[in-house]
Amino acid sequence: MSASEISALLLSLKVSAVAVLWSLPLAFALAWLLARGRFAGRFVVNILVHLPLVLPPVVVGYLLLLTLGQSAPLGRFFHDVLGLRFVFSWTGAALAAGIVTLPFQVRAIRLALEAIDPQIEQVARTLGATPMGVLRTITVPLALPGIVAGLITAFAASLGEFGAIITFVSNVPGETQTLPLAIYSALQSPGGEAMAARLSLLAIVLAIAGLALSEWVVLRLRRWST
Amino acid sequence: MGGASLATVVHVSGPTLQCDLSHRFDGFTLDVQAQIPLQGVTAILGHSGAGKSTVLAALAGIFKPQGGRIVLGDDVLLDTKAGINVAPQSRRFGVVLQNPALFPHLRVQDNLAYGARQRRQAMSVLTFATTVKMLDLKPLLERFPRHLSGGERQRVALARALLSHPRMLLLDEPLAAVDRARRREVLPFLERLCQESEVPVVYVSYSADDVARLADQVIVLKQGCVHRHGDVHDVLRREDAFGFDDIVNVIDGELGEYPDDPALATLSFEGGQIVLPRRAQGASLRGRCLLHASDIMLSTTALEGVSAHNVLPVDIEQIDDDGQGRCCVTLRCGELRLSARITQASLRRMTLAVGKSTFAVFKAENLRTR
Repeated sequence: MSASEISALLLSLKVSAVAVLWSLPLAFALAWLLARGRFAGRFVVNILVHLPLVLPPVVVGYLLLLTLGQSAPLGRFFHDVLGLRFVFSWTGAALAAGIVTLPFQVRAIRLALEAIDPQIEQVARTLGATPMGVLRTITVPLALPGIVAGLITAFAASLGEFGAIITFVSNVPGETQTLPLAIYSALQSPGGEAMAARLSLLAIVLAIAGLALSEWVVLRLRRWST
Repeated sequence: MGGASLATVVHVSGPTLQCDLSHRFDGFTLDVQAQIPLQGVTAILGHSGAGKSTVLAALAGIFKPQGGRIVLGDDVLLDTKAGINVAPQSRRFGVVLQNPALFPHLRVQDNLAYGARQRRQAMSVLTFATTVKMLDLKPLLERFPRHLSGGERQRVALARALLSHPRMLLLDEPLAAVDRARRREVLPFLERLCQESEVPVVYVSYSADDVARLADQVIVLKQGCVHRHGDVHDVLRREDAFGFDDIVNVIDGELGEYPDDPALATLSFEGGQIVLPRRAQGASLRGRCLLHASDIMLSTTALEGVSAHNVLPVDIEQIDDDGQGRCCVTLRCGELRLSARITQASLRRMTLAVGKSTFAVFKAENLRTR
C-alpha cells in the first residue's frame, strides 16, 4: 500500500471514531427520550432522528454547508468563537459522518432500553438508588450490549460515508479524503484501478471485521444472560 | 355484641403509617383511608382490580396519586396539598412485587448488597448472614438470577428488600407469580420472615388463605375503598367481609402435648381446645390454625365414631344467609368465635336457631407455629 492509501485508511479510522464518539451521548439522550419520554413532539423527534437514514447523504451535506459553511452565521460563530472550522477539515467529515450514522445508534440503544423491565428500575429506586444511580447501575449496564452494538455498527457505516462528506468538506487528500473518497478519486484518474481495488478490498475487510466485532462484544457483554 | 358486630373497630396504639389516598382513573376511583400499625403483618385483601397494588405503589412512592397524605410515624412522605412527595429512595420501604425484578446482570450476592451500596452503608455481616440463613440463600449467592427457579428468585427479592434496612416491608402478592408447588416452598420462608424480622409488613393479596396464614390485621379493599379493617380473626370469619366462599376461621392458641399420641397436638384457647396433627419442626408454644367455614359440620348430638378429632360444643350466636340457599352460622365456644357455612335446608331440618346449643365437627390442621 502506498503512503496515500495508508493516510486515507488512518484518516477514515480517525473520522469514524470521532464521529461515533461525539454522537454517542446525543444518541443515548435521544434514545432515552424516545423509549421513556411521554412528551408532545415525540413524533417529530422520532422523524428527525430517522431522517438521515432515508435522506440522500448529499442532501445532509448540503444542509450542513448551508448551516455551518463559512458564510453561514452559525458556521462563523463556530469559527470565530470556538476556533472550529468544519469546511475542508476532517472535523467537518466527522460531524457529517456522525449525523448520517446517528439513527443506527439511536435505534440500537432505544431497543435495548425498551427491553428493560421498568419494574427493575422502580425496585432499584426503592432500594435507595437516586435516578442517576439507577441510570449508572441498572439502565446503562443492561443497555450496554445495545449501546456497543450500535456504536460499532455506526462506526462501520461511518467508514463508508461518501455523499455527505464530499458535499460538506470536499475531497482533500490527507484532510478529508477518507477511504470511499480515495476509491472514487482513484477511479477518476487513469491507471487507478489497482489502487481502487486494493482500497475496496480494505473497505470490505473493515466492514466484516466491524460486524464480527459487534457480534462478539455483544455476546461477551451478555454473559450474565447465558 | 350481636348485630353491632358488623362494624369492625380498629384500635391502633403506638406509631402508625397513616395513609389517605385518592386518585381517579378511567372508570375507577381509588379512595382509601387507613391507619396501619408499625408492627406485625397488615394484609390488604381484595379481588383483582380493587386497587390493592395501586395503594402499595403509592406507599412505595413509585406511583403518585392525585390527592393524598402518607405519614410514617411523624415523617410526612406525601402531602399533595403541601407539595411534599418524598422520593422512593428516601422513603426506605422494602418493596417486593409479584415479579421478583432481580437485577439480571448482578449475581445474587450483589443483588442482596445493592441497597447498602446505593445508600453507601456498610452492610452488617451479622444481618447478612442471618438473612441468608433465614431464606436459605447460601447455595445461590454466586449465581446469576437467570439460573434461579421462580421460588428462589422470590426468596432473593425478599432478602434484598430486607437487607436494605427498610422501615417497613411492602409485599405485593409475592406468591402470585409462582406455581402451586413453589408456593408451598416459599410460604414457610415468608412466614418466618414475617415473624422473625422486626420490620412491620404490609402484605397485598387476593387470597384469604394466605392472609389467614400471615396477617395480624386485615384491610379489605372493595372497588377502591376500604370495606373492612380489623383484626384478622374478626374480619376473615365474617360472611360480608370478602366473599361467601372465602370465610376463614383463624384460631390462635397455645400448643400442647396430646396425651397418648405423639402424632397429635392440642391448641388451647380461652374456653376450649382443639386437636390437630403435630407439625414436625418447631418447639414453639403459639400456634395458628386455619379453618374454612365450609369445612365445619354441625351436629345436634356429640358425634362419636367419626374420623374428625374435633367435636366442639358451641352456642349459635348469629345466622346470616346469602339469599341463595346457604347460610353462615356464627358459633361461640368460650372466647372463640367460629363461622360455619351450611345450607338453608340443613338449618331447617336441624331446627337450628340463635341461642341454641349444638356441636361443631371438623378436622384441623396446624398451619403455623410461632
